[in-house]
Amino acid sequence: MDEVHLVGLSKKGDKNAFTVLIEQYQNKLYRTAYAVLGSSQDAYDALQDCILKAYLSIDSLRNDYYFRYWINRILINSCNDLLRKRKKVVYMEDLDIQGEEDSLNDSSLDIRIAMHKLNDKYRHILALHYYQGLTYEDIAETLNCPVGTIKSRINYALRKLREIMGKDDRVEVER
Amino acid sequence: MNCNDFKRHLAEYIDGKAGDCLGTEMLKHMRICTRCNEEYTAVKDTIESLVKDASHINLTERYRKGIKETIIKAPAKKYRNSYNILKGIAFAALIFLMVCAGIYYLKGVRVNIEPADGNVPPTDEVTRLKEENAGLKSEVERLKYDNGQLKTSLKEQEYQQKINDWMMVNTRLDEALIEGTIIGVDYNAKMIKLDIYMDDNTPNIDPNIIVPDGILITRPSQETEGGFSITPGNVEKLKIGDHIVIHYIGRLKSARAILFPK
Repeated sequence: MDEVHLVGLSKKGDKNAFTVLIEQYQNKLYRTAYAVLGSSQDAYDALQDCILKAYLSIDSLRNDYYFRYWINRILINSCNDLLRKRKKVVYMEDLDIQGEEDSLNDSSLDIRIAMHKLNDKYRHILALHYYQGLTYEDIAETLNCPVGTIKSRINYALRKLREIMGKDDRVEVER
Repeated sequence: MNCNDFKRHLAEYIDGKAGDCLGTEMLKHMRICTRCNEEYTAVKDTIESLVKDASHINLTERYRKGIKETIIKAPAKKYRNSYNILKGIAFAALIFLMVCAGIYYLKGVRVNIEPADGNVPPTDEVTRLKEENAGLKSEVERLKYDNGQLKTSLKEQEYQQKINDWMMVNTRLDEALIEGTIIGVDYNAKMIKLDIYMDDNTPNIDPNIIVPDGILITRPSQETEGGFSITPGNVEKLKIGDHIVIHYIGRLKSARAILFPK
């Protein structure tokens, strides 16, 4: 069923339509939340909060075509709320890798540690682009920023990530 | 292309989002700049690590079920659309009532009274009566205007008469007696205007002026154009109906007084 139609039905309170709609997005949203929060439980909590808020306030969505931007905006806000509430600082020891230990290699671990040393605004953009696959234009629409800003932030964030990872490597070597 | 441009477009290039033209420029730059070439490799590795990490993150079956349950357990929503429409209609009705009340308040109720026998006068007759009514109204207006004009004219005559009363009562070349009742006070003028023209040869003659108590009158000067002025601050003590006598002793050419002309 077409997404806009599902949004229309969801606005009328159709829970089945909303479930189908969310199923299309939930994994991508979860990845984004995971990349921002660094823990599967936190990502799940943020996702749950986001979905509940979306269900209750879908009437306020004026343009049905903008659902994907709108839901991402709610997710980012839920993640921020969670970070604020818990004042979470995720270090390597805290990173939750349960259930993924088999597939998680050193490079994944390094990148997650480096991600959590980045400023929130850069982490959000990297999460939306590389973990969810949104285009620069989609991110610009979601975060209400010019596309040029998004591009420059991505470049800066990647350089910063590389720097952080490089520093960590040097520390390892020195040890 | 320089190194800064290269860095600015690097992520876009690696993502395959740079256009053909930009892509060619980037490639050219990488061939000639070792540092940027290294940068390209490093950033590409970073992006690959991010994408690879993303592929490891997936919702578990437990979480999927949990999300489904969240939606099922979510409180039932009201059908907001119909609710909003009803709210809108109620609001519009309220506004309409307020406007009606406003009109009623401002203009009162207009009642059409028809003759008791139900005979409505012919249209021509109504038109004629309306025209007659309009004619009478304009006549009344004209008469009011004439009346106003006459009143104004009478006032002016009275005023002129009073001014004339202030004309010099007695004059001699060396003495003037001016007396009368104040008919108007111009507090802003702060001055009694007395046109007393003295002999040019004796400009500094000391006048002997008798005025109501507390009123000081200065000597004539150039500033007062030959008249006497009341010292500022004292003019408020004069009021309409006060009797004033100015006995001027000195050599005068002519004298005429108008107190507070308006």
